[in-house]
Amino acid sequence: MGTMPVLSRRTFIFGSAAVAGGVVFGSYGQAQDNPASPGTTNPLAVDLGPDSVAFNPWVEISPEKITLIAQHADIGQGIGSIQPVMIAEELDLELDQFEIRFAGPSPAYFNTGFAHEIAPFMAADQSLEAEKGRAAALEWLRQSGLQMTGGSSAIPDTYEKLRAAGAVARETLKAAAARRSGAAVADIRTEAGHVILPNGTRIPYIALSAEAAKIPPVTDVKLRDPSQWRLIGKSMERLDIRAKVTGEIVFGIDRKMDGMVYAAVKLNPNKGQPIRSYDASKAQSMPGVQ
Amino acid sequence: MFDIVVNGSRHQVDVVPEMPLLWVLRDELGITSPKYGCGIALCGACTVQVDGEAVRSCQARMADVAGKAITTIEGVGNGKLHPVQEAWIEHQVAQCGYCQTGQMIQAISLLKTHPKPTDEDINEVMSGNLCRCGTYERIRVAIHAAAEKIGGK
Amino acid sequence: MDRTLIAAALAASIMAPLTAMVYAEGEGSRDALAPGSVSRVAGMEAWKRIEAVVTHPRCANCHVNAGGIPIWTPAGETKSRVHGMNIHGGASRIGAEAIPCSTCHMTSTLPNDPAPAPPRAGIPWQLAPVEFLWYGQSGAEICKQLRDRARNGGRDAVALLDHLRHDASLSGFIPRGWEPGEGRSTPPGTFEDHVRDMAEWGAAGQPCPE
Repeated sequence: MGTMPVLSRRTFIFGSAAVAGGVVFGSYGQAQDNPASPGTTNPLAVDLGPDSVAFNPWVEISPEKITLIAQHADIGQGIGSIQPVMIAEELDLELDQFEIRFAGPSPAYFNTGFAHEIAPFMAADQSLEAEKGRAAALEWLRQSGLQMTGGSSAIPDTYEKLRAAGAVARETLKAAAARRSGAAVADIRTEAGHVILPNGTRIPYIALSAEAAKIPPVTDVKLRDPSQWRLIGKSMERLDIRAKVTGEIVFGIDRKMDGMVYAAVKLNPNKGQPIRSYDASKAQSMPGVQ
Repeated sequence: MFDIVVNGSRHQVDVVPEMPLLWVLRDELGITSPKYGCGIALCGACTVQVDGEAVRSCQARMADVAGKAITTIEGVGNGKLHPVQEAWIEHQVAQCGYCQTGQMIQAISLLKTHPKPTDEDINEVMSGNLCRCGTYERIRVAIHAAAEKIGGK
Repeated sequence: MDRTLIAAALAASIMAPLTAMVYAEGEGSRDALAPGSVSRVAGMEAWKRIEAVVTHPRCANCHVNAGGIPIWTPAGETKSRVHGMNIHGGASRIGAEAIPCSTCHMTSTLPNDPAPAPPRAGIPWQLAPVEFLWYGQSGAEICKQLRDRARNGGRDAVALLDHLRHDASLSGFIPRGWEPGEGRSTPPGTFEDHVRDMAEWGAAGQPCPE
């Protein structure tokens, strides 16, 4: 019991992803100010603008806007909408109050949810052996910094992490507002992108970014009970549906970079066979071909 | 030099006559809503309107569409959302969205000739537009909904 | 507007070049040989070559019955199958009832692209009229049909040559049978061979196998 390898659809997808190069292997970073993802540095801290704050690798607030980072790629499964919703649930944001940015590569975004998939135990197996196997898998994921989307692991990975990221941001904004106003944190609340002081004054989060950057993130947070949720578990419009319906959304093929050229691949039509020679003269005679 | 009218704006493009309309739109004019999927009219992702008719823009050559009126998804609603786009949002049709501009252009064309399409009409007209996410059921529902919207106006 | 009306209007406008050629005169008479100048035996030999052309998938696949479903013979294969994507030409024979053939098959005088890109032609893409049924027919059946004015567009032997020349002048379907795009098979001979065979068959009195 417990040692039987399970070749599920999910492990199969993981295998495909690895072969297709859809996996980013990061390196193990130094333990620094990244409480929600211990043992890694916060990649947002590198290019942070003036008077801006990055409470953790998922929430960035500047004097102009709130940006939520989606670490899992969205190719239609909807996770690009669900990730910010989990943050917004705890951070008390409305769905039109933030921008979404997909994460660059960083060990901070290692996939904790994948431990259940790569450890060769049935999901229902609660034995000590299974738990130890999963713990070992998690440690391997952490050390390798495996940042990947797939295997239905995005929600298991982010379900607590992103809510915590939102709660950390919320509590730190409240602490900054308390410092500014002299009110007690316990008397301050948040709603729809604003901190609300006991006297009813509403301060937008973006107006607190500079002050919030000066204090260490409040990491001692408690996640809300599901009975309090406004967003999670409710039907919602995909956040990218309008851009997809108007054609504005930018896919990889739509992106243009300075000096970019296009390449076309010609393969040997026989599987696995090498190239002996090729004649590019016809292609090279076409206008624009370099 | 060829003349081309895209979404009501006239452009001049300096390309070879055989250049597919898809590349004229995407690379010369920067209109990226029509997508490259297969390049051989098997997928429908590149569908645009040429003089009001849905056409696979990967197959249409510049020399053959010169002077004609091209409409992409940006131009179907005259500054507003077209009823088909509205229905696409209401029914949350798109997943990855790559094929969907082509799907909507084809659906708009369908509704012109079949204002009250049956499921069979939809199957016939939309079968050349592939969706790897498998959104076909929602496409069908959204087309019926769009027909209602257009009919109600 | 009524669907069938739209279909009919579209069909009428798109098929105009085809019906016009019935009345086009003279283009084929240069190719015509004097009646009786070719023996019946030579005429039958010419027919055998014509038969190899009209029964070739490149030529027969759009000469289908009233069901209107075109046939595909994929490049590199010999087995036929129905056209993919749920396509049918409808009563209009141009797909006006559902999705027009010209959605993918462009009206263009540019050369065809390599398979499997859809071939194009200078005439709007369409099925042959339903009475011109070739696909699935024997050579003898097609032969009798080709000389039957009730089933060939009202053409005598010379008008059939006119038909070939007029179609070629529009970069139509017939010469393109021999230029279908790289990777696709072609009927035997050349377009000019085919015109000559049709002239000989006509001059021999259009003999058909029994």
